[in-house]
Amino acid sequence: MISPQSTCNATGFPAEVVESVADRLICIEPDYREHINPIQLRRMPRILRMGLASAQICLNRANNVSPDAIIVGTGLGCLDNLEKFLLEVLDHDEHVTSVLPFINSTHNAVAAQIAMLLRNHSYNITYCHRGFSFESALQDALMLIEEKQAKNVLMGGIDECTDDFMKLHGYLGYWKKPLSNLRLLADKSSGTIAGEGSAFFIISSESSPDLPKAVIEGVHTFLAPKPFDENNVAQEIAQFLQKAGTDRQEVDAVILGLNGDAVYDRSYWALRNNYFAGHTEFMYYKHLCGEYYTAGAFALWLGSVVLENQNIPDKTRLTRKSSRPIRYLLLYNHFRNTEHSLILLKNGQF
Amino acid sequence: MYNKSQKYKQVMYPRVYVTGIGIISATGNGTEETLDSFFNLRTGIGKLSLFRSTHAGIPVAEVKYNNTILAGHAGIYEHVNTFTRNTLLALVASEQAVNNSGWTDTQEKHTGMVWATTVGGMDFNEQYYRSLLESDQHKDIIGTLDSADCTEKVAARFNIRHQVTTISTACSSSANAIMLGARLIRTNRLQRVLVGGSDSLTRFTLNGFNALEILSPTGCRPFDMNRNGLTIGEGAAALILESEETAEPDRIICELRGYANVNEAFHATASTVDGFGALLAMEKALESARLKPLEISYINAHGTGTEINDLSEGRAIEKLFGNHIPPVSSTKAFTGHTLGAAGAMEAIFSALALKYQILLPGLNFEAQMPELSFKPCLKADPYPLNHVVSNSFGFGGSNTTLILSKA
Amino acid sequence: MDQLIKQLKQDIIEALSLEDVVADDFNADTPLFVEGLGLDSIDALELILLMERKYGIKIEDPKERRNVLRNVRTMAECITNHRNINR
Repeated sequence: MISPQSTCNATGFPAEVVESVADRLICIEPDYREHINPIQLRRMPRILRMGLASAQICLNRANNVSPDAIIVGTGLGCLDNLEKFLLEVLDHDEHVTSVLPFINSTHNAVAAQIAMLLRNHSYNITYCHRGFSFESALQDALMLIEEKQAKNVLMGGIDECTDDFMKLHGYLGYWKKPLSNLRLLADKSSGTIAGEGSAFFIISSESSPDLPKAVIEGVHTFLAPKPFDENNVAQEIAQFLQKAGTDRQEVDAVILGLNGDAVYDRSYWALRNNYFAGHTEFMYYKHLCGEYYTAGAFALWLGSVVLENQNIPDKTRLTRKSSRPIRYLLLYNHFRNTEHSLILLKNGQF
Repeated sequence: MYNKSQKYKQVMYPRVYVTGIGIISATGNGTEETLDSFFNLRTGIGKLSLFRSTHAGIPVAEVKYNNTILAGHAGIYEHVNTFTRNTLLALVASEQAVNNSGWTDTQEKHTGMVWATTVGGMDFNEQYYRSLLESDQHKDIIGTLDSADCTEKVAARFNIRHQVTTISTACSSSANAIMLGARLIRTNRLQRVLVGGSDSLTRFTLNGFNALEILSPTGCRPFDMNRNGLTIGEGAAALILESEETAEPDRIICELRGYANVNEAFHATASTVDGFGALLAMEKALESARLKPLEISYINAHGTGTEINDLSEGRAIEKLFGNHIPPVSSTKAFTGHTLGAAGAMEAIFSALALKYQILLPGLNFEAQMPELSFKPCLKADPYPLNHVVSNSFGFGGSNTTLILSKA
Repeated sequence: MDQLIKQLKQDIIEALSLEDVVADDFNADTPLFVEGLGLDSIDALELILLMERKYGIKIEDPKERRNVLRNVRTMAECITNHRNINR
């Protein structure tokens, strides 16, 4: 997990939380030469480096299992190289000086590079649908396992924040003025703090004694109807939990995609206050990673860490500590009230 | 011991049928115009007229409507200027497919959507990006620039709110969208799914392929000894896939019987010369369809007309089919290479071939490739077709093969 | 000629992002492809573009390309010849 926190080399939640005063959180990156051959590295734009390094770290932790499929979700792909090539075409009367940015701008560049480095010929897909990108990738991984087409799927979510992306979406009021990320929820203005990250996972049909024991019980995505209706969200959650063989009474913890936007956070607060049982604990995370299309990957990482350690890190906690074990953990996220997603995790120990 | 998983497998895997198709390309708007092009061997490749370019001399395959006319066909009468060409194409094709399938109420079946595109709203990127970097004058189109815009606009048109997503894997994108759609049905997540892909012609792709030196200066010549590159096209293709449990029998066009996606893992833009990836994709697709090579009636090849692809794919076909190579052709000399739309477009052509029991012709062919024992079929002749292979191989080594069968 | 070779070496390092990769023994005669620097076909395309955009030389014949792109010296020779012809 490469993120704006010290998660690169950490196996659990980092001891210290990084505070930034900014309108965007920037990843703490490893020395890529430790993970990628310099000859290949030279050609790679930042997002490719992030993707490859985090995939490599994940595989190392999984005893270098050979994946039966490689699936990536990215909302923006290699936006930086796309912008580069586009501006060359526009500004230089189509006299382009380099072909590499064009090649890198294909959305499946990260997945393709991973396959090339591993010499892996298996199923390889890239999803690029905004706030659904990561969850679509995760669902596909689950489907492959159900279909018995794969035992171990390498899947991940990755997005990079570029200056141009900040600028354009700033026009639309996406961002707050620079502030401390630790005060994200306390700030009552509209907008949020931008982020980025790359998280890769091995989704496996088998559990293993020395690997994290989070079991994925289900993934669900939906587009919210317009005008937005909180009851609709509650209904979707109820149906999702029912299909997974459980209900809201059994959910022990919920990780909410609260991002500090006074308008868009309302649905999260409504659920937190009105929907779940009294014993349910609530968490938030976007003050740590920022808001980006595949932030759900950070949430999944956090969820699996919480389940394994049976402990909610203080800096992510919204509610008082409960003594109940955390058996079912629900992740609920949406991107500006449009793409909503739910992931249900269960602790494999119980 | 009773193998519970086997029984579960049977219940789990309903057949998947194609019940609706919609298409717009350089060959025409809708299946009738497209078929007419095939019967009359009329290519859609011609001169660039959509925008000004330094490369105006390079042949392209444009949809013969400007955005205003496309908007009319797409049923858009307000805020026309906020719809990218890509989205307009997607709406036109989707509307056809939905109507074709008899779909009237989205909520009557569990319905989803999987779309595909390679460059999304790039036409608006080209028009407005410079201006956007300088001021917010055109901020109302910012949401149209990415790859999800056309998917969400089409989903909104038909009120599809669940299982909506977009795939982008270069030239195999919409073939992969079809594959995912089928799997969503077979794993009982959906009963019906709108799948397909779209891409509009842009300076971005024209210049990108030109820098890679794989554009044909004459119009592509798939499987010809003197082939000289690919021709970029544009368009959109949509299919409605339905579970056998809920499909209406008289709407069934053909069956989506098998599919496979593999990765060449060789080079960012080129395939191996021995066709390893293409062979693997076709083998796995046949395996998934439980068919032998002998049972394939026709191959709609990826056949871009580049030196490497046609050699690579040709060799793979030789290896797999041995002495029993069925008729092969590439329809890209009619439509150009429509990138994100290509896989779906060619799946539709395969469906039409099965429905009307005809072969699909190639064009611009004069001399057989010395490395291959076959040449493409060149006329839309009547032919008994049971199972058709449709190949889509893309940048990043993404190779997908679909198998469609007579219903 | 030496000046051109020096400049060309710099251009190549920049165009192909070889700053951290190139060893001190990269000289005018180090093979660019297969052995030596071990560049690949995408690098070849970038070098062709470099020759065209910066030095105004269009090399279309694949055989000629292989000869010109053998090493920095052959590239410099091609540029010098082109300049002489166009004088």
